[in-house]
Amino acid sequence: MRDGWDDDQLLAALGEAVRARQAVPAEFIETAKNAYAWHNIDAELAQLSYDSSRDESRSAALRSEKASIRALTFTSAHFSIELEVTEGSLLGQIIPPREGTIEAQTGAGATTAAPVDEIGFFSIEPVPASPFRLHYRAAEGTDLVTGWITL
Amino acid sequence: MIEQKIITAERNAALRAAFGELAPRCRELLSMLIADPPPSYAEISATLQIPVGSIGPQRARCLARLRRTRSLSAFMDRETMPARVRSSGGETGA
Repeated sequence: MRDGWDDDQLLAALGEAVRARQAVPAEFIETAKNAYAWHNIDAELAQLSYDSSRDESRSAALRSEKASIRALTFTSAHFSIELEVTEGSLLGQIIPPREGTIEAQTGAGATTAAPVDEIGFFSIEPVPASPFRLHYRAAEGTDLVTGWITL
Repeated sequence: MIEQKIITAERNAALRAAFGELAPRCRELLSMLIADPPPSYAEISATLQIPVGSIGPQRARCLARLRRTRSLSAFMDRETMPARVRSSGGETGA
C-alpha cells in the first residue's frame, strides 16, 4: 500500500469507524425494540391478504387513471381490515363492524390513535410514516394487530 | 451521495475488522488514542503502565500493524485510498 494515510489520518479514520458503529445501532435498536414490543402482545395477527398494487388485473384496468387509490386488506381468523390509502389519510373498515379504537404504530415508535365507529369505519390522519402496523381493539375484547405495512 | 456513504461504511467496516486483528496491547493503546476527548499521554502512561516516552513509538508501530492487517490491506488494494496526503515516512517495511 503506497498511497494512504499518514498516522494521524489513519488514527482519525479509525476513531470515526469505531464511533460510526456506536452511532448506527441507536436507530436500529430503537426500531428493533419497537418491533419486539409487539411480539408478546396477546392479539390476533391479521395478515395482508390483498394489495391493489400487486393486483395485476386491477392495475391494468386502472392504468389510465391518474391517482389510483391503494387498497389493502388484512385478514385474521375472525376479522378483516380493509384499508384505503388516500393522499392525506388512511381510511379503513373493520369487518364485521365493531366499535372500538385503532392505533397506528410506526417502526420508530410513534403512535396515532383513532376511534372506530359503530359501522366499523375509521380514519387515521395523516398517513403514518412507513413502516407501520395497526392495532385494533374493540370494546368487547377483540384485539387484532396487522403485519407491518410499507406504503 | 449514497455511493459515498457505502464506501465510507465499507471503509469503516474494514478499519474495525483490522482493529480486531491487532494484539490486545495495540487495541488498548489505540482505543485510548481515539477516545473523544483524547486522554493526555500522562493518563495513557498511567493506565497502560508504559513510559510516556514509549507512547509515540508504540503508536507508530500499532498503526503500521493496522495497515498491514489482512482486513485493511485487502480493502486498500481494492479501493485505492484517495491520497489526500502522501505518507511522508513511507511504510515501515515488513
